[in-house]
Amino acid sequence: MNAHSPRPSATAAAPGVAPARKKKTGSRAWRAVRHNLPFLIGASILLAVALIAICAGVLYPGDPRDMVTLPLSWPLTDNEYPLGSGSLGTDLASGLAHGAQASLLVGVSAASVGLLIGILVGAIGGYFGGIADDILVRITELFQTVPTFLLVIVLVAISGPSLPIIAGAIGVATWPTVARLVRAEFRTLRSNDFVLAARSLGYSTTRIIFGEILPNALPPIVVTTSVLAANAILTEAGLSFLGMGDPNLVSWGSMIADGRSLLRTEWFVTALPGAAITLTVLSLNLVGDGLNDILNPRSESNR
Amino acid sequence: MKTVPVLEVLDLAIGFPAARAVHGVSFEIHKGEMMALVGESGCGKSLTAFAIMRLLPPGARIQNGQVIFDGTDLATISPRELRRIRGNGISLILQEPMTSLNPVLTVGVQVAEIIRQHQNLSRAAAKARVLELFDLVGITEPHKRYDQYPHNFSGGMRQRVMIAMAVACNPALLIADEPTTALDVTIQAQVMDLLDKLRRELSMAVLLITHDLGVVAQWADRVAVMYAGRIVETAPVQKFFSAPQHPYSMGLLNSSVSNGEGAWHYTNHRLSEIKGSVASAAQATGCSFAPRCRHVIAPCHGGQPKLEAVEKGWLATCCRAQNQEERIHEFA
Amino acid sequence: MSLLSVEDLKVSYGPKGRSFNAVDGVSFTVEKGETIGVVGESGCGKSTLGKSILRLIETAGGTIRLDGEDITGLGHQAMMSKRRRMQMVFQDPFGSLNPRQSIGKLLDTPMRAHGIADKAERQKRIEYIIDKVGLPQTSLTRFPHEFSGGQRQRIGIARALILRPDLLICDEPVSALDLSIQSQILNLLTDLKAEFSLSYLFISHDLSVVRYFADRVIVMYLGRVVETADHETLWRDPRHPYTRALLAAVPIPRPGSRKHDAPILGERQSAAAASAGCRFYQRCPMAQNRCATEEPVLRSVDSGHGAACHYA
Repeated sequence: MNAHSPRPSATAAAPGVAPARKKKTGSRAWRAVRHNLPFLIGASILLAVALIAICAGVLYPGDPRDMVTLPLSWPLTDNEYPLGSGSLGTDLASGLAHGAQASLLVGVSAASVGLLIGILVGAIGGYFGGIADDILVRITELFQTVPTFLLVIVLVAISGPSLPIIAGAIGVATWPTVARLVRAEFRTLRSNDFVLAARSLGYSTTRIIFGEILPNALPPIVVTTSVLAANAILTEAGLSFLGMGDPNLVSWGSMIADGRSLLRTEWFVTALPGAAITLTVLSLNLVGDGLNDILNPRSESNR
Repeated sequence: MKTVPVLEVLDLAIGFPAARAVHGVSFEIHKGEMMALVGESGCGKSLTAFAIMRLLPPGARIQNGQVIFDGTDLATISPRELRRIRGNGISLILQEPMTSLNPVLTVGVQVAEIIRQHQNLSRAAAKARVLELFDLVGITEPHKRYDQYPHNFSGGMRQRVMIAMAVACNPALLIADEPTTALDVTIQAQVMDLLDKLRRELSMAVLLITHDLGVVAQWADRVAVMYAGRIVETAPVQKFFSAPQHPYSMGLLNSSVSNGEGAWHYTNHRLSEIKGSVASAAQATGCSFAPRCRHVIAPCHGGQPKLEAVEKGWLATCCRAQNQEERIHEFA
Repeated sequence: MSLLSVEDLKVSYGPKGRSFNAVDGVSFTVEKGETIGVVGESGCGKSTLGKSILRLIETAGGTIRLDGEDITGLGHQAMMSKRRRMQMVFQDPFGSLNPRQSIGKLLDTPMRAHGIADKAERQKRIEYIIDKVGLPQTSLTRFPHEFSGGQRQRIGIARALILRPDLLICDEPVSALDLSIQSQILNLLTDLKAEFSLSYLFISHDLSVVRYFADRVIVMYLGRVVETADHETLWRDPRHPYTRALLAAVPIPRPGSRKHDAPILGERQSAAAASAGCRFYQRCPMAQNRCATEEPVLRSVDSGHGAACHYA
């Protein structure tokens, strides 16, 4: 047996082109991260926002809707309330911090709901094909023809404005994007021989879908998720601006609504939460673009 | 007897930004000759062939050497002059006849276009020439076939169309990159026979890139074996198959499942193997094949041996082949 | 009793009404320890045949028996125990391994799917089999893209063997490999056959490889078996005109051995266009009137030698 034992050597990349690289996948991804400035910027902003959201209760223990000082004091005029106050004398800094909580919570949970439905629908349709796929594609298209924002408004109007309902409604309205993506990935991947190999080994369908195919489809899904979360934050802001947000919570959208009538004089009441939304959405998009480059081995090789 | 070769490649080196892939390859092809460039995937044979027409993949560059065709160096001439030679003086046949034709144009139009691009012919004259070519490459009912689309053609027929396109302007050199790899074995024989007939009738030189030693033995006149970006042996086909001089050539012939007589069976013959993998060539200081060679002697580690004559017209890059005393006689 | 016996197997493709049989009434047996080679050109149904035996493609008729037991109608659960006994090695060593799983996981998952609960036992088997296919233990933590084509094919073989099957269906296992790697894999398959007393169904388009590696050979053309014989007889005395043409077309690595009197064949028809008569009729150099109307059946022309030709 050992008489013909083969080479123990490592890779056979394009021979003569590059010597065997012994880098592991982990280190490759890490290298890609370090060289990706937009991703680093986006990730740090996002991290900072998340940190503020988590610590909001500690930093500003009181209810952000409480009247704590004189209304409409400009930022940097009062040491106790450095970002100024709103039309009802609320602390804007506290509002921004608590608003971050609401916005990120909506973003994450709406994206999760969309992801869950989208992956299930897309995976089943893409893997099985045939009649199941036809039906699921029609349903997906049905949801896509209705404008997202309108659908969310209708759902919230029916079920009442609370954070879980809003997040759920946004998720329900946005899953078709994920479903279409996942379906396309599954249709390509299912024709790979490794799926045939898995079937020949007697793996169950669940194992093949979630254990074999899904991990290969993850990179584009992860990228889409960040965009999905960004859109969810925007949608929630829009809802709150229209007064359809959760009345028991301060969100960036409701803060903007609060400053609407003061736009010409005390513009900072609107500008501060507006800037927070812009920054967060931008950071999510940067992270999404960055992940696209990092998770895609082809774009790495061009570096 | 010494004639001017159709193509002379001198010390050609091709590199990617990261590393060099072809290290100083030299060979020549004469009129009417079919020369085979063989080697395993990644040895640089296709890269070398494409470099002749300067059709290199992105990032690759000719770093050194000359490609002399018709008295000019193709490695340095302007893109404009090069376009005049491509498809006219030198033409190319690719492996995949399914994707090399434009699916939305009729086959006849595509062949006529090539002719009209290089020759000042009227539409009618070009069509007449195409019909003549179809007949030459064995496409039956050329009139009917002229107006059909590529999807109406089988793989073998498409390859015949590709050949018609390639020989349309009577090129002096035809480069065929694995022309039959995608075809069935019965069709392969037909296509190779056709190429063989054409090069005799049109006295055209053919550079055949292949990994199939059977094809080399049956149809080529001369063979150059590449390993890790270098030609390790070049010889007339008869001599190569009866007494290869480079240990890599020997290894290739020995690991073949067929010895020509065909008596080998797993029950009575164990195939010989070439140990290791090409990746080990990158680290070697001496001969790039030394890490895998069964016949290594001390001088092998001294440096990369040059391609030197074993006999007239027979060269090898092996320090043992060049020394009468040290010759390896595996093929008794 | 034969290890595997296939009778009148049919597999059809295409929509209802316009469907055609990619495998059309194929019968053969595989005995214990035997290697059956299946050769034919692209589209002859050889690959479909291999996959349908493993029930990866639904069959349209006929029976597949493993040790005499009909497995054609078994459900997923009942099929599980049969899958342990029959495994497959794929052509493409790049596509057949999940790029996101380490080699260790690739080898572990089949055993977990088949309910081998003991982790130590699984680990022991993995270490044993990776050594048997000639790869170092350090391979287990690495991923498929870190290996060369030949090494990946070894991993594919290890995965097929991990459930200790009796029959390996090898679908073009060396076609994607370089010549020098091809010989390594063929030698490995030879060693494993002896070591684990395996039987092979060896599917290939490469006649030279089949000639070297098979004990008995089945030649297929457009879904049908046209000739079957042991390897020596088939090359010494091919009876079917298609077999003869095929054998004559194989380029032998010996200069000057080309036979220029090889029969000239026309272009291949597709299985969908099969007519009433012999499927080889349009390409056959010795076709008669009878061949256009009457389809020849596979009949014995000698002991253990069958051909489907009226004039064999």
